Amino acid sequence: MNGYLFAGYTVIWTILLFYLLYLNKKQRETGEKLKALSETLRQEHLEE
Amino acid sequence: MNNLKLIWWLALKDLKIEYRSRQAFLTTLFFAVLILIIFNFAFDPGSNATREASPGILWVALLFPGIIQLNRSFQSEVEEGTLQGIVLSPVDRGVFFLGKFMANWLFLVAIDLLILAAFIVFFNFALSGGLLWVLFLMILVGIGFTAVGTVFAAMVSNIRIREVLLPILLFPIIVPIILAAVNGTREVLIHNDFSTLYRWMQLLIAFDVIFLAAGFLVFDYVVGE
Amino acid sequence: MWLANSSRALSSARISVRLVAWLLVPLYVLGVLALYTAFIHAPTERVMGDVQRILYFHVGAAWTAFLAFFFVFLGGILYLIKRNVFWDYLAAASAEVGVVFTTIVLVTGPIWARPVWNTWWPWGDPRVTTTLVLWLIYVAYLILRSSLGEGEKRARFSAVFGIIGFIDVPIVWLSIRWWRTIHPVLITKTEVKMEPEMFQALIVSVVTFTVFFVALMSLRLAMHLHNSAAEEMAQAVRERSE
Repeated sequence: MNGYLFAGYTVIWTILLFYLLYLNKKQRETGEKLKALSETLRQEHLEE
Repeated sequence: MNNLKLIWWLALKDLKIEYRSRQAFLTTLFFAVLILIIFNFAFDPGSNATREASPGILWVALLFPGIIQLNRSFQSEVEEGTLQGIVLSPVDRGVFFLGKFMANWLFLVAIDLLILAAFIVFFNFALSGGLLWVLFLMILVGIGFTAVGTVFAAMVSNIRIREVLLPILLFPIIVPIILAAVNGTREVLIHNDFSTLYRWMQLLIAFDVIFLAAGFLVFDYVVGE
Repeated sequence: MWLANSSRALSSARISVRLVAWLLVPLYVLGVLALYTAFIHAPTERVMGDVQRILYFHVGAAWTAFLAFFFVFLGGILYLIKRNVFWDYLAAASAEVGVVFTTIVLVTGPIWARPVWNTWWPWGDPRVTTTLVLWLIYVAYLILRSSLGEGEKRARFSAVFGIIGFIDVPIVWLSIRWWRTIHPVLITKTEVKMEPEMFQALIVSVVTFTVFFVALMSLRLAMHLHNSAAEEMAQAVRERSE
């Protein structure tokens, strides 16, 4: 019985972990977009 | 031209295009028959278990070709880019939806009739009054299937993976009518039990009314801005 | 770009993030309380044993899964009426979090069911199979979104599908219930003898999951808004240099 209970909770944690990893990846993508944007703006600023 | 006549006209326009080549109809029909045949190879033809499963096989043979036909029904619009034209035309988008729905539904019912005949032959069913009820089920299921299917088919018409996307969108939604169809058919044809049929019919009619109305109201957003 | 302006998105995002920040401490407290009530406060169930404790979180997740779907529906309708991308992202964020919680429900369910009912999946049970169909509709929603590029078309189509899906779920539930009466399942509704402590544990868990949902959904919403603003600004810069 307790084996099943442990499995149940492990599964919940695992699913949540995977979702957090996914969110992290998405956030990194947005961060990269912003970095590229700030690079472009810096270049433009330097060229002026 | 009043709206009812317009719906008819739109439906006939699509069906005439179909009729000219008949290729779509014949290939869809062939595909459905093929599914029936393959299942006879997949399962032991004589056994009782297969007989119990046969209503499911019948409906699978109708659903998959139905999906293909739904996708195809918007192909001419995609190729000629006329879907955007609907936005500009004075035709009410709901009316356009009903026209498409009518064409698709009539096409489906025609296929249903022929597949039912093939089904009777391949699965050795006696000609009974129950078959008329099955036909009635097919008509009702066809309405719900086509109503939701037409909305989704219009949505995916411009998406590259529409062949697999349409079933992904449609099948979960039509679970209730699949249950009604298969169980209704099974009870009537195999168990000769008409007691539950009434309930399944109620479900089908409710589903049809709700989603025909929903499709009509929502089609504006699918085609237009 | 169809997004009205980035600054509006950014201020909405800021509100969302602030909401999450405010919720973090209560969420932590509730979480600990939920664990305590589930494992210590509530007694062991007589018939099922300790496995029954999974249900506290299973039910919490299940309620939230359906709540999230309501938000998908609501977001879709509000988007179609107001045409503000905020509502579309709210729907999308709810769908994502919703599918996560539904997955939790669908996996913990069989884990509980196997020792108790001696079956992994009771098809005839309307709650079980309806949740499965809910999961399918969620996944279909997300696949639809991913196959469309960012834009008002995606928002429009998502809204339509979300609305149709939401109308459908009660019908699915009903149809499966009628299916069950024809093929009676060996498992009748299991009566869990609810001690008051158990009920308390359940309530705490449900509240915890609801707060967790709001926080997670708000966070994802903020992420969508940020990403969208970044994209729009990048686009503006690209156009300016042309």
